[in-house]
Amino acid sequence: MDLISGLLGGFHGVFQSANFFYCFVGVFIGTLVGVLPGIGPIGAMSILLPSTFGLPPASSVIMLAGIYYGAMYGGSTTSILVNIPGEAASVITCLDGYQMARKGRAGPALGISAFGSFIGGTFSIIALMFLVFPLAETALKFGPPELFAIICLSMTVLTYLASRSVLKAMLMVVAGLLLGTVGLDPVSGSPRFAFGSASLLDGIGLVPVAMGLFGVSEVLLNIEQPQERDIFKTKIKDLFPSLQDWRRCLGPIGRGSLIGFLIGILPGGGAVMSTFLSYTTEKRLSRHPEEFGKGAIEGVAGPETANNAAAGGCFVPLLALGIPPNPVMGLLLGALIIHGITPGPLLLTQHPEIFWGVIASMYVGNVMLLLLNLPLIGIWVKVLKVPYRMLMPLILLCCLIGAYATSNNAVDVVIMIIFGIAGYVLRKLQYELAPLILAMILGPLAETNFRASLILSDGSLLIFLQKPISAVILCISALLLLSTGLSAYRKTKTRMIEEAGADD
Amino acid sequence: MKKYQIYAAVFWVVLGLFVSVYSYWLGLGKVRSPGPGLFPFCLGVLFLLLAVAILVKAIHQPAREQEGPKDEDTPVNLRKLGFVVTALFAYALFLEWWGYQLTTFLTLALLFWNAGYKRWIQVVGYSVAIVVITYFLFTYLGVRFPPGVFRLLGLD
Repeated sequence: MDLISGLLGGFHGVFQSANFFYCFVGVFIGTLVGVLPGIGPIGAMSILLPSTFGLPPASSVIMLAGIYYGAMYGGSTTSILVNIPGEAASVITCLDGYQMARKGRAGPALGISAFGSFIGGTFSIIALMFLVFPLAETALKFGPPELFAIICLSMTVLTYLASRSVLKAMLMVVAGLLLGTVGLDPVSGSPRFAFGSASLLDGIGLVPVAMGLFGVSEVLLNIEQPQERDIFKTKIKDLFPSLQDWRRCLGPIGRGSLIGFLIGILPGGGAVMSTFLSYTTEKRLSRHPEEFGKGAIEGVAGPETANNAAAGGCFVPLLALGIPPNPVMGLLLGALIIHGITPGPLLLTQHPEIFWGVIASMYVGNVMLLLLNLPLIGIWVKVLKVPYRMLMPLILLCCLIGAYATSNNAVDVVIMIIFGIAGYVLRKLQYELAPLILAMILGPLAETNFRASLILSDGSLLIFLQKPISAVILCISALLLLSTGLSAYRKTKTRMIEEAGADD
Repeated sequence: MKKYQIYAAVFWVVLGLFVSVYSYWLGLGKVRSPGPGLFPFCLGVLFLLLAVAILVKAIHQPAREQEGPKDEDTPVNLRKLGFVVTALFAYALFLEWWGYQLTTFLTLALLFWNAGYKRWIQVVGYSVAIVVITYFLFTYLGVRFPPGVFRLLGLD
């Protein structure tokens, strides 16, 4: 069977010493950045991206993917012991995880989050393996109009899911698309927004922008408003949850795996959203909803499973369609493109070693993470005690080296610093950064497919509606936009009525 | 604070105008044969419309509902922030001239001092150790650092 032989080939690749080593480095760094507040997986991946240029493409992707799902494991440790999420997908774990730690149940909380993560992660790899092939076969029939429609849908979902102002999220999407147009026009080759600078002719690099927005700006925020980290002093025992805990958690872990995987596939979705959805679902289904927020183990098991399942799920659109559903996958797309590989339906036939290598490495990586996070939990608790004043210069130095190494050019360092400051200001003003970076990655793809569609149709925009798949996807996007607009309009109207009432 | 939201929105409006006009100059072409400016022009106009909407919303929204920087930002922390940003720009400026080792050592020493380490032995010790470790680690990973002054001394 193709699946089995492919997977065996993948395992053979991973157990070659180099790939095994890079997988370990990836999950180790992932756990580290998950544990450390102040730097997330996007920052860490963009810092390390330049150092993977010299590696074979499979090793590079294996390591970067390891950072992502490793961070999902590590993030829970900080949430449970310090009540500060190590990264965004662990925010919800603070609610019940920290309460469990306060009640002396830090061990089972850490244990169930590691086991849940392992089960969710493994489930999503299996599902990913079975789903990618039929999806890639369908995607082979997609032309530029369909791809353009899918990209539009990703960006619409990103704005639809914006946790704050939709208008601001839309502005960030357009700003990202505009950043993607800097450089040479893909069709005519004339320079756009380069202002005579040779460095800008190649476009603004993804690495300096991502590092600035997610690495430097995070450090700047921490310098301005340092967070006090009080580690909960408790003896960590009983890492293996009791039979009763397992009985309570089987449902949440099962549902978390499914929710996480499905949300991960959605364009614009990702680990963060899956945790919220899983938590709400568990609270609704629970016989003791009043225990949630006071140390219910289901509130840790569900979301922690979901974020790891989502980390696997979001590989589906990247590997099958070549379209990243979130910024992290965007960085992986960038890494593959740098190595001259275009992800998409043809990846499976042209570079099976990369696809199967990544899949097999995820199985191996999940086992490594279980070992890293349970028996070695003491090390991570010690890492938590490293003061931020020590970490801050180190994180900044890694950003500086990463930006310079992208092209051996100090201009990229300047670009990174500028985006760091921009990211800091935007975060302070409550603008979301994820839509900006994803739109910047998808922008050139969107433009190329848009123009290719117009060439196919001899200049008729109707091509997007004449093709049934693109018509349906664009209709969904339009409906989402309409519903977003309507709800914003209703909110404004209610507020105005309330204000008028108050004035009377 | 409300005024910061308005300042930001005004900046977006100006940026949107600039992008639209600049893309128009690039050449729009026709739908059948789009010019290099068509895609950015459409985006520029959309950006401008969104910026105007954000500006109108920011002006009409009551100050209490405004999200954003609060008053507790202390000048001391902002000074620290300014110091770090200046150190980063200085790093970018001097990196290729002075080389990795010297520039990184000086920048790290300044950052550690700014972060609260006041004993010079700690500041110098940490900085030297990190420069040595990162130099060998990243060189092993294939990063080529600028030698700068070390080339003049014949040490690199």
